[in-house]
Amino acid sequence: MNDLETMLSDVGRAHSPQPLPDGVIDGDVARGRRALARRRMRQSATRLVVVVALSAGAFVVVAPQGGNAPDTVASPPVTRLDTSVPAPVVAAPAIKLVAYTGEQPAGYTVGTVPAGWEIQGVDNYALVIARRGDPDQEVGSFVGKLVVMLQSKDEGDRTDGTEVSVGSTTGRIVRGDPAMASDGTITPGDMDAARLFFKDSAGHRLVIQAPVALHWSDAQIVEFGESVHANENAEAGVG
Amino acid sequence: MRTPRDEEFRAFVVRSRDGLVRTATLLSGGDRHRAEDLVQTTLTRLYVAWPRVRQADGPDRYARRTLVNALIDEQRRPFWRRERAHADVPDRAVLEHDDDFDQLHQALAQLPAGMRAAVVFRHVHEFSVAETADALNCSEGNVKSQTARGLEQLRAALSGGTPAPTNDAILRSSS
Repeated sequence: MNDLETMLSDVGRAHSPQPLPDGVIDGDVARGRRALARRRMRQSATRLVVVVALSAGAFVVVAPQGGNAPDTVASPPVTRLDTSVPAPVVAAPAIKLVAYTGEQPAGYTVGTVPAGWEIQGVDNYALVIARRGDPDQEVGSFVGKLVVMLQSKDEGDRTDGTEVSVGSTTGRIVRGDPAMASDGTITPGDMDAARLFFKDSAGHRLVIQAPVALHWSDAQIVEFGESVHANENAEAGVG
Repeated sequence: MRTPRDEEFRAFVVRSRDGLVRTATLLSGGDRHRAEDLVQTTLTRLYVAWPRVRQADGPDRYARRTLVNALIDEQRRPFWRRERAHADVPDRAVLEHDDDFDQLHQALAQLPAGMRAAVVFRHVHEFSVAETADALNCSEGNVKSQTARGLEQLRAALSGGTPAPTNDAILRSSS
């Protein structure tokens, strides 16, 4: 073995493992959870688009350019929805808030929850509220759920969206936030939820993520936000 | 509340993170911040794909491939965004530095990403040719040629000579 290969080999051996600083592994898990939630949210949005497209019964034939028309014409679908008389669109009612009477979760104090919803789980990073009987019982999945968390340590104050009053302070509601995949690609307006950013009375930078399934107006998101408080056990994510 | 995925992933990170950072530091030419970025990207991808990772031959093998892919993906971007996942990168020596090692890191940094990875896995981690080919997802012949050229360029750089012209072949393209 010559000198260079010896030196390379020495580099591999000249390493003494060190204990990981506090919070590093929690940060890895939190980033993974967020990436997984974003992925599931995108998949959910894609499924919704497909269902809507199929429901509309649209059938489009695109002829190839350059005069090479096909000899046969695509047959119409065997069954097709009659769209000549569109069904009336009925907006789903917003789910009302009711007083929360259960045990308070560690990290947060909750004053109200949506009627028929329950606290599904909580850890240092997020409080997750979901419909009773929600088939998605994974607490790390935020799709279609109401989530309370602290804003990432590495994220600055939001200046976009709509300014709203939250108690004695102001916050911002952002709808259709871009979603970022784990590989860093960003899809504008992909997030199927509204998010309220504000500081509570103790100075915690809170984020409320309300799914569109709640059909909440800005005022209703604020009403929920005003009923939630973080305590010293709540921990901000990173990244 | 921790899920089974969290528990298994956490155990893997406790066991493997230090080694991944060490490899990533070598792959990034001694840049600890960049190495930390690469490891975080790798671990995030592993968490998302965890059901597949745990069924694979071994999470370590999957992690190595993901780390190399993250390195190559990063170099293909027109710019790379630095996202600090925690405020301070652990302030500790990943390698015990001396001048020779610093020079070696600098010389490694001059190699194309795939060639650097071949040299690191083959001669630092002392993987076999087959293991290196598996980690880099390329042929064994490609590993041999890339490591030979990599060593040649490292020797030239460390002796102060002019490195041989760089062959910036992406390993996977010629597998």
